[in-house]
Amino acid sequence: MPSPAIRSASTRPARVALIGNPNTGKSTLFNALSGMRVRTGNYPGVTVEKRVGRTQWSGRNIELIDLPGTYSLSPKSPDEMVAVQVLTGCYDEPKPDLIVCICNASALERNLYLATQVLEVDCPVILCLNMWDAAVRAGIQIDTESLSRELGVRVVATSATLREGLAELKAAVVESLTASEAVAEGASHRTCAHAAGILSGPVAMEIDRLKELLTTLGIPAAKRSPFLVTRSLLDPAGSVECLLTNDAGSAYSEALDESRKLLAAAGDEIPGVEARQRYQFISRVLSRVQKRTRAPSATLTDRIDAVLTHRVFGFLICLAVLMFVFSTIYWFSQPVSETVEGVLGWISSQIRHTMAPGPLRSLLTEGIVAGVGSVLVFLPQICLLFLFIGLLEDCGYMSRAAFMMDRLMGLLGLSGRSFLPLMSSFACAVPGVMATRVIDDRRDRFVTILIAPLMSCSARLPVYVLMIGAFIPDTGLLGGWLPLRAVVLFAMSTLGLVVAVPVALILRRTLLRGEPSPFLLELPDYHLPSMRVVLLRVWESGMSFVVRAGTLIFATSVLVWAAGSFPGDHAQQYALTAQIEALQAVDEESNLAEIETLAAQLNLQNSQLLEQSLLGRMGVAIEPLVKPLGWDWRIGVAVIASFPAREVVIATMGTIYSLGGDVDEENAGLRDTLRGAKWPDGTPVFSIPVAISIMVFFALCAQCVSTLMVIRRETNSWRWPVFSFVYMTVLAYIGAFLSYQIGMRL
Amino acid sequence: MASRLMEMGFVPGAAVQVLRRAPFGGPIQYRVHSVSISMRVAEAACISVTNDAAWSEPAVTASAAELQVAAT
Repeated sequence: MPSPAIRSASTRPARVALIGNPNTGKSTLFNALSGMRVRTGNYPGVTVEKRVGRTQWSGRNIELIDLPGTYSLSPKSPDEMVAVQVLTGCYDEPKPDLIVCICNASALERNLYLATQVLEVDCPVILCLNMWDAAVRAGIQIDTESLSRELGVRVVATSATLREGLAELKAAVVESLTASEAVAEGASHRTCAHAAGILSGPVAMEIDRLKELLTTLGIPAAKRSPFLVTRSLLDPAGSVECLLTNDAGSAYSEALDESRKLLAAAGDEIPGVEARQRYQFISRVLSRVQKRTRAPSATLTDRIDAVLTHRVFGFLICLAVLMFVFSTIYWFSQPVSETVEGVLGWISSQIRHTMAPGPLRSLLTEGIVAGVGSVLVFLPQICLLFLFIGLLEDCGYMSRAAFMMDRLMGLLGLSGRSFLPLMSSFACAVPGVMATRVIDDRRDRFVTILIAPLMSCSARLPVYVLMIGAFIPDTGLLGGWLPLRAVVLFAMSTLGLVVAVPVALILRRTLLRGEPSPFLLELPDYHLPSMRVVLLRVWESGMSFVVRAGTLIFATSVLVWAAGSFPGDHAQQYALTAQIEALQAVDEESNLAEIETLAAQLNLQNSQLLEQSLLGRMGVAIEPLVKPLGWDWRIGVAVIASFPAREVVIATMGTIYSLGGDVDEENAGLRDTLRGAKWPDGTPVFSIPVAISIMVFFALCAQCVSTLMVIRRETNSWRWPVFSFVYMTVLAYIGAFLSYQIGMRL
Repeated sequence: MASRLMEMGFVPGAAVQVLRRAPFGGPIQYRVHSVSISMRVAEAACISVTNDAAWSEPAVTASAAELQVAAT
């Protein structure tokens, strides 16, 4: 027999996996145990987040793996699949050395289901009864010693929020690791489930039979562990069955079919038998180990829910809460964004003071500084939104909101969980798309991500204001008291939402077709949110945005600046700018007239340079394409220039029409110029149908590289942002085309 | 689907309590095995229950029931 291998603490860190139901305080525990040294990432091939923390206890290096919350090791979602695969040692990483199974002490009747499955994995287990304080308050008494004896594992009671029991847990982990390393290799850490009495009767017999078959077929011990055999039998057509059939051949899969038929005939059909036997086992154990000194009466949670999920008031309260969240985000993030822009503006002006006008100066001020600004401007909104999401999720209200909004979302073919991300997208799709992380169904999440940019975001408003202000008459409907302009503004703002409904339904039936996953949503007890966990999440989200999406947004910003500046001879532009700045430095007031003449010349120069640049040439080239929409090449250039960011269209129009890039949508000069714009043959370019076609295009088009980059980050591929861009551009084109053509005929 | 329901606690023989219904005919909230779970009407349809009037809960107006899950 091989001698026991004693591994020293410094060779490799011990891998400890944390597993448990959702809502058991696992994240809080994970954060309390691992501190700040957490690395996040993705498991290969799926959009499931991977969280690993490194720490040291009693001199040992420990690697803590926070597995996604799961209800069972019979995988039904990508999250649960990841958990099973980490536990069985796929992903090119060895199996964990220890599993800590975390349960909510107040709900052991259900939480132990996963624990009984985890006990079958060939790995040491420690059972952690978290939220112990809540159980005590509810009058639940649990004899941890007896439970430990019944299940054959160490049991530790903790309260992660009160940070109690953590030292005992750490000590138990270290002791277990040391003990298990001294065990001879090849010996099993745990007796098979049915030997411990969990799965019994015909099921246990079949499992034994299958194990013998695998032994005779020559499968090595590691690949025919009791856990793998059990799961291959209990999860028909599951990943474990495929794994074993690959190794053992068709003889094994035939044996599996036989076993299942036998069990069905004996009244122990798969899958029912597993749930029945496990719950029976749990209730037997708990009857010996747990006492409820108080009848499960209406808890505080129930009483709060009676108000918050009331059919009428609950719904109104939910809307009010969400309104509050969004207005706070808007109200707070505006001044912060303005401050950031102010600082960047100051930096730009410093650069202008110290450098003569030239290509390097332009690159710095209009390319790089502007690029950084276009990333930072989103940060306050993202952080605030995730702060609120964290608070609402942690305290338990999020699931109530999803519960109440589910029917409404059903109209879109989605579930209640999509409500918050879609509502956030009304302010800005960038945090809205990031917020889709709360949706666990993969297909629902992708559909939500794809329709989020249709929600009328705040950057579209300037375009609407300009077009409506210049071209929609200031009349009133319904006897004069309902302003036509307000109606048009409302129509444009809701156009995206209206279009999103058929788009979502079509997507759900074609590209993202699949069985809708059941809306089995657990509504956890209310409890005070843990600020540590929430703030850590905010930090992680902000960082991931800046690093993953921000770099791409910045790069695109610089590229667009380059496309709008080159090719072109800027010598005169630099000369004029230098002259103006010289005059301003000397004495602005007395030289005002001269400055203004020079400024007019400069505006003309800028307009010509834009025409000659790559951007301008693209605009001229696509003129035949946009003529059916009623646009001329100038509008084409402005629209192309605004693809990275919608707001840019106003400034671009200002530049093209030689008014300078500093105009905004309220500028009377810009309005007049637009009204006066003419085609070469003298007919006016702009008219009501043209204005509407422009607005419709902006309403439906994905002109926001930031959103596309965030979609790339959240879906982990380029396929979806490209698809978003294409489908929305096509939609926008068709919409603008119809608006113009129909408008001209009315 | 049935297996998912059973894993969450809707096992034959379990005691289920109906708590409330979401607005607009939305999902229904149940309590089973001391956990509160909501599901849509269509999903709840595959669970059949037998009524047990003996267990009444004065604090929360609801009806208690014994549960059998139809194999779908």
